[in-house]
Parts: sequence; C-alpha cells; structure tokens
Amino acid sequence: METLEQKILAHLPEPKMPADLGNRIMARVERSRLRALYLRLALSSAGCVAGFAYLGAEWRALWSAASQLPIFGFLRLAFSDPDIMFANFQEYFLGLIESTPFGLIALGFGLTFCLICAVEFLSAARRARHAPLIIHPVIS
Amino acid sequence: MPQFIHSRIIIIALATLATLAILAGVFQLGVSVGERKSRHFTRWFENYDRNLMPPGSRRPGPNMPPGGMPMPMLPNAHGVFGKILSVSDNSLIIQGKDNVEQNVIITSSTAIRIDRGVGTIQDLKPETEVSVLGAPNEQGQIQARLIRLFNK
Repeated sequence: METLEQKILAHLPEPKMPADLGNRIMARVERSRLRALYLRLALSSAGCVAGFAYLGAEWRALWSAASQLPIFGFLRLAFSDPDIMFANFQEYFLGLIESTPFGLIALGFGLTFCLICAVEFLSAARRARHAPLIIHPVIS
Repeated sequence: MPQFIHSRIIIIALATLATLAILAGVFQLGVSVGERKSRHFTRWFENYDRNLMPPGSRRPGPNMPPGGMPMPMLPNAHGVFGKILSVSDNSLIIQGKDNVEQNVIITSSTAIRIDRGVGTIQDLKPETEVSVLGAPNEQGQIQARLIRLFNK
C-alpha cells in the first residue's frame, strides 16, 4: 500500500543529478579550504609583522630593560647559595615572581606562535594549490 | 557513574572549570605580588629622606627632576642587585641596575658570602657589586637575608 509521501512524489518529475555535480562540490570545498588557509596565513603574517615592527621600533628600550632584569640576579643566587634560597624560599619566590618580565615573555611567545603559524599555513597553502583534494570512490 | 564522568559535556565543563580556576589563581598571585611591590614602593618613597638622603639635605625626591615628577619604576621589594654607595654600622645603600637606591639593613641573621667563603661587614665597601636577597620592612628598607659578593 502506498504511503502519502509516495503518492505525492509519484507526480513529481524524476530528479536528475547534474553530470559534473561531484566536481563542482569538490571545487567549492577546495575553494573554501584555500580561503580559510589564506585567512589564517594573513592573520598570522599580520601578527608577525606587528611583532617585528614593535621589536624594531623599541629594540633599544627592550634590550636595555632585558639587560637590567633582576631575575638573572635571583637565578644566579639560586646556583651560588641554594641553601639560603631554600631557607628563605618565600622571599626568593616572591622576588623571582616580581622580577619576571611577563610582558617580554608574552611578546616572545606570541611572536614565536605567529611565526610558526605563518610558516605552517604557508606550506599548507602551497600543498593545497599543487595537490587538491581527491575523492576516493566509496566501494560498496 | 563512569558513564556520567565520561560524558563529553561533563568533560568539557570540568576542563573549563579547571582552566578558570588556574587563571583565577594566577591572577590572584599577580595581584598579591603587585600589591606587595607597590606597598614597598610607598614605604620606600615616604621614608626616602630618612633612609637615603644625608642628614639635613633638602629633598626633591628620588631621581626627580626639579619639577618633581614621580618615578616610573617600582623597586624590587625582595632583592637588589647593584653596587654599594655607602656603608654604615648595620646598613648599606645600594644602587640597583635600574638606578634606584635602596637601604639594606644587616641583621644578626644576614649571611654575607664572598665566592665560596663567608664574609663580614668589613668586606662591604663602596663601589662593590653585590646581590642582596631580603624582605621589605615597614620603613621601606630591605632586611637582608643574604648579601653575596662576586669577586671579578
């Protein structure tokens, strides 16, 4: 016995799949994939450029600040007088935290992250342009 | 119960809570360290005359131009690394690498070390490079736990 859906569908023309539907789908997927890669590449490159521009503009001040960092003094004391460090661990720990240049560390990590991302996305974009996605037919 | 814990939503919720807890703890640590440092700076600034200026001298303030601008740098509260400017009976004035002078108090529990040996107050002379570890006190000074001299 036919269902209601089957009765309705019986009056509609038979759907025909376009001949190149698979290729068109893959082309669209490939384009959106490349677009996403280029966007990430642009963002990471912008981060790299901004970071290096800041370093270039402020390198004297950064170098001067880095060379005067008291954290090196604290680290040196840890090697020369570890017994005193352990005996006064609270003061040592607080001094170390006070003198840690978190801003410089964040700048360094951020710049390294942007650089690695830019290199990775650049190589991925080159691979995607030269070796597009291949559909492996489903064997049933 | 194991299925509850392994549920994806619960795992995400637990991970989010753990991340927020760690971030909050780190933020609180930063706040408390900053508070200690600014409290030491306030005491150091208020007692600058008494601690660092010669008796009877007028005070424009520490490293201030004639206009009286405030200093941009907060001195370290738990250590100073630089050269000795002057030595008295139980205190030193040390100029750090950031050009900020600090008064360091030597107590009975202060260890003075030179290279691999033990030193005395007599070994502390002006223009000597020292490294000091200590704790801030109410007068904006640093009570030294360790004074280390490195012979060059």
